[in-house]
Amino acid sequence: MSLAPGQQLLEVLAAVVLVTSWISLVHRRVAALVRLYAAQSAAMAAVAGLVAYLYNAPILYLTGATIFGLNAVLIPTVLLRLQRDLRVPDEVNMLVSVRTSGLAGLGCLLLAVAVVGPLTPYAEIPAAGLLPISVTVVLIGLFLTSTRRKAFTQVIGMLVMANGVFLAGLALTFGLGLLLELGVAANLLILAIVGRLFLFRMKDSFDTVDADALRALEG
Amino acid sequence: MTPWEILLTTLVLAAELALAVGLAPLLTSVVRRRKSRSQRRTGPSMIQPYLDLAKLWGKGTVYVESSSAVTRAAPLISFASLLAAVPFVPWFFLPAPLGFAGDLIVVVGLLALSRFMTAVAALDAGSTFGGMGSTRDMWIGALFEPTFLLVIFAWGAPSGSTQASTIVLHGATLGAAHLSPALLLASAAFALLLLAETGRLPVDNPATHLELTMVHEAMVLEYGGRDLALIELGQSLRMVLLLELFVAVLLPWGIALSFGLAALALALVLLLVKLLAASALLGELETRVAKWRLFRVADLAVLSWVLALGSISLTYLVGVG
Repeated sequence: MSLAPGQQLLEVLAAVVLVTSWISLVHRRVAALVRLYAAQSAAMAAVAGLVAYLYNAPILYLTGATIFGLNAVLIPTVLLRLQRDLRVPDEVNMLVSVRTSGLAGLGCLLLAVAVVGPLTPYAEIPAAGLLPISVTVVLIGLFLTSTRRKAFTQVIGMLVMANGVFLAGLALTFGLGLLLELGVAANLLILAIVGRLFLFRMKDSFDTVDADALRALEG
Repeated sequence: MTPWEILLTTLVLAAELALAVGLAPLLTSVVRRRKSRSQRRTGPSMIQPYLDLAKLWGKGTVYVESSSAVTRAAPLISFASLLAAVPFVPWFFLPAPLGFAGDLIVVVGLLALSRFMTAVAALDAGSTFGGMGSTRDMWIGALFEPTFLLVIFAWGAPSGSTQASTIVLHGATLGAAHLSPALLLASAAFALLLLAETGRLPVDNPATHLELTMVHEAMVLEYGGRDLALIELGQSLRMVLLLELFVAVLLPWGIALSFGLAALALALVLLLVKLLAASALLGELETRVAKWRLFRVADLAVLSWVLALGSISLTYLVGVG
């Protein structure tokens, strides 16, 4: 398999994104999840920069810079501060065991390959692994969101999902177009801010950020 | 093969055995030194493991009265099987001297035999700690053996062989293209396996004698003298062997392909540098993590399976070489 070095580096970076989301599945510390998200976003920014360089699409440098500034630096900082302010316990509460989560991560990859694999020959993709990996990351984000108890970790799951969508965008359309990218980036920031407000309200009303406490609202 | 080549291969074999056994305590020492430095301790001198081995070698051995011949034979068999695994792994020369006799799966088998002998000997003496240690060790071994095999298949996928020499040769000729995502994932899985196989933190703490947390140390409590020296040397040898397999596959460049003096010298120097760097990294890693609760080790094993299987799926399903 002879790939151009640039494309190989692209696949390696995509693999880094994949591994960080796998580790998020088996990690038990909230702060570590935030840092993993930051690392994942940094790798994403590098993917954007590399695609910009390889395919001569300078607008993607801006996308990369946005991802780095927002997803890798700003959002993690906000989240870590939020964790400190709300005194969110560092333990991740899960509905399924760590081992099941880990194996589910593998299942996500297989599912993504089964679903996206047949499409790959039809799409013009910078590197073969990019599309299945991005779908895997979306699925893993979904899994994180749906199997973690705390609203805080659910927010992280959503953000991982958004990263996967970004990656898919990079893979399929060489970036979604700057306006759209900026729009999505703004949305993410809003997600973080709304999440913050929501968590503060929740902490006020229930003294906890465990989403299960919301069941008390059932009529 | 001409007689001349046979002679040279035999020389390489002897040199590699001597190198592996000679280096083993040094690398253990490097790990300890790195660990103590990052904890702001001076740490023991670099030759301390050699001194310890010499001291143990000079001592007599005492056996538990109720123990059988298993206790006496186990350290030898355990050490011999590790020693036998050395020539299957490429060190500084390709092809590996015993490569014609078996592939990496033989190495897995030999490591398992060594583990099995230690565990059986621990049961033989009939102490409670020995039994506890051996159940734990066999459990960890069983968790990580699938990882080992999967990693071998993942490593072997590009060259289509489970032969260490073929894998390393393929990688060395490929240049930078060798560092594919699949290889990196498999190597990450192997790194986790290495921690478990060599009884390092967070799986086992090699520095402790606290009964409740011991795994390997619990199994060898009954040993002293020469037997203990063999066991300790074997433990170091196991670490060197796995570290060498790791660096040889991950960074195969510079290994000697012919009997040229310059090539051999360069390969030896690079081998030393790679091994020293890898052990220093291992020591650094050990200071960053705490010992995990025993049952969390399974989480680590699951992560290593996912990484190894992920690497294989990337190769065969996605076509990422």
